[in-house]
Amino acid sequence: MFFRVAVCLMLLTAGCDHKPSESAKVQGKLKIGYVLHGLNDFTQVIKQGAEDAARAEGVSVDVLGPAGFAATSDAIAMFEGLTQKHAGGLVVVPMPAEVWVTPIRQATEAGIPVLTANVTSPKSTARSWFGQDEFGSGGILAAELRKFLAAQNKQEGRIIVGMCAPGLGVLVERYEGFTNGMAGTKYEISKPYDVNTENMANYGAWENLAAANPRMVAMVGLCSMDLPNMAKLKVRTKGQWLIGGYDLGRETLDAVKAGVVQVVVGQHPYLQGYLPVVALARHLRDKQPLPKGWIDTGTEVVTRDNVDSIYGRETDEKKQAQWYADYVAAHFADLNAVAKPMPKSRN
Amino acid sequence: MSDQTAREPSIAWRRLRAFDEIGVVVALLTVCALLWLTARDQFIQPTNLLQVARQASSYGIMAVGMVLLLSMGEIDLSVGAILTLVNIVTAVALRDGVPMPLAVLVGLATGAACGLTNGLLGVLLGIPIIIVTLGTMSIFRGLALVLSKATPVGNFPKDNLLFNLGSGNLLGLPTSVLVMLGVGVVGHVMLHRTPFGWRAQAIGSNAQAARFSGIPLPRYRVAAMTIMGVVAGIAGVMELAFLQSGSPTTGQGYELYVIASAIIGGTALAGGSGSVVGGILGALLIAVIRNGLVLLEFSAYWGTVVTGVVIIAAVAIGGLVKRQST
Repeated sequence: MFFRVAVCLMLLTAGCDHKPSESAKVQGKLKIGYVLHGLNDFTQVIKQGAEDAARAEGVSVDVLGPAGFAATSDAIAMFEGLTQKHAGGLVVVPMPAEVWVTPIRQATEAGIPVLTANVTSPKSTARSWFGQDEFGSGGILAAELRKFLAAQNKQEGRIIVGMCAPGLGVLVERYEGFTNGMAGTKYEISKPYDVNTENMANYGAWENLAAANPRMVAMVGLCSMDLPNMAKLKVRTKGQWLIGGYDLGRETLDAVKAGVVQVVVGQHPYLQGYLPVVALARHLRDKQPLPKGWIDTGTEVVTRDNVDSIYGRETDEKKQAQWYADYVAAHFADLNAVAKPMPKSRN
Repeated sequence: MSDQTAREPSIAWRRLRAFDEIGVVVALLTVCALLWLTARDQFIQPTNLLQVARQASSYGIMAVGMVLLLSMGEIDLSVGAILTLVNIVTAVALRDGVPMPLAVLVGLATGAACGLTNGLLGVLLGIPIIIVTLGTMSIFRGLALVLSKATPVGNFPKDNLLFNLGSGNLLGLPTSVLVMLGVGVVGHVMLHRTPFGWRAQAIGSNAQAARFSGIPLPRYRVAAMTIMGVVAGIAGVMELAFLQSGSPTTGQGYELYVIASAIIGGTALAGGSGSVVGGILGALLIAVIRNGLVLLEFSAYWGTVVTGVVIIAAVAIGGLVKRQST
């Protein structure tokens, strides 16, 4: 009896002791896991990119994410689940960066290559990061907004900035980039106000800010849910302030078309889903080296002048896939060649 | 004479203490007075006050249902998720060309079905409602994500009565505030003027005694949960009408604010009594605090702390006054 139990335990232990990448191979299709920081309209585009890349490369990808925004413990549980599921490689949006150091280290120690997307975890063992320079994007937003303010002859005044998740590194970097981009001007940049991630509370927060600052010259939102709500508020209150912010949702682009929102910064979330899956697939299947460092997916500025050329791509999945296939071929054919050194973290 | 003068304030004080809503009223008046003193120019503007009332309406509408449930000794953790699902279902129906009145009915029926499911699961499986709704909260929110593909649903015609009224005013008040008041009146009458309400409170006060007196507890639990579902559905439709797009992020975390509104308003967590008026005032207090934090330019970090402190203070004041009366 004791012998049988011992043999069973040995067999079970042996079953647990294989390399995940080997398991991924014997299943036929290579398996890649992708863990998002939340499920929303922004991450839906990342998911779409990851799934399109998996189809193009002939691998399978599981894209998971917690229902809440930046619900870190849920995301880590999903990441660990994918590690146990023997994914050949993992991509993660490590938000916030610090808490992802250990899970990423454990995965890499288990032989699973880990790449980061959207944001990175600088102190982790993740090999590369696919995303935009958040600090730089804040500066770009500031520069574009200044042009619109100057065109309206508004050389000074208060600019209100809202942060949907106060303290979140990526948003702090955007804010710091924005204030840096406004340095040397006569504009007074507010501290970042908590505007909440929940949709109705977000609208209410912007409504309160507008009531408290009747003479502001502009409002800036750092999250994807901000701009549609700011636009509705501006229309309803006949506000004269300008609006700038992030992410290219349909409602936001409609508001840009209507001239309600002046400038939006996009960060190519599709590429943040697409490129790391391509890199992992080629590494696992063809033994191509993984890119090391930062793959800058770029920052895109959308105003009324160019919104029509963006609109079709952002509201039609087929057009989006085709546009990005051409874009990847033109700009990201060799990921190792475009990789840059990781930027130093500012926070 | 001296005896009488000594007794008069005592009677007035005793009457005052009889109000379940004393804590929330004191807290609301205190916060409003502080804002009147510190941010008078902005706070007392009619536009600002109407906005605050409108911001309170979602929690306020749902607090009416929650007061009924808490009076029965039950808590529904899925109310925020029901609101989200109704919000998305109605938006998807409109996007797919369902006529507006029918889409609204589909939304409300979804809310009722969610509530009914909660009640039936609790009764048939013998599981406490709080645990059932802990599970269904995830199910309903997940269904909303599946239906919406985690993206806002807003590409439908908006030139109709629902959106014109939902985003506008009626009789000088935001429509959602009128809906909150209407739901409040119905809830108040149901809780305090009908056998259903009396029996619900009797169940919350002593379930065993209620059972022995012949009250069919399972039927009442299912009915109360269904009412809660409908009320959350009304809030979901009103949010859709106001924001003019359905969003899977709508309603996240509402359950705690709705429960807080009811408790702040003087409804006993242990059951047995409840105040619909207090629940609505509790929602108003939360909205006033949020408004005040912005007007007074509190930092994003300290604002969260202050909200918690005022909520605890409101409940503590109510408890303190009541303890003095015993």
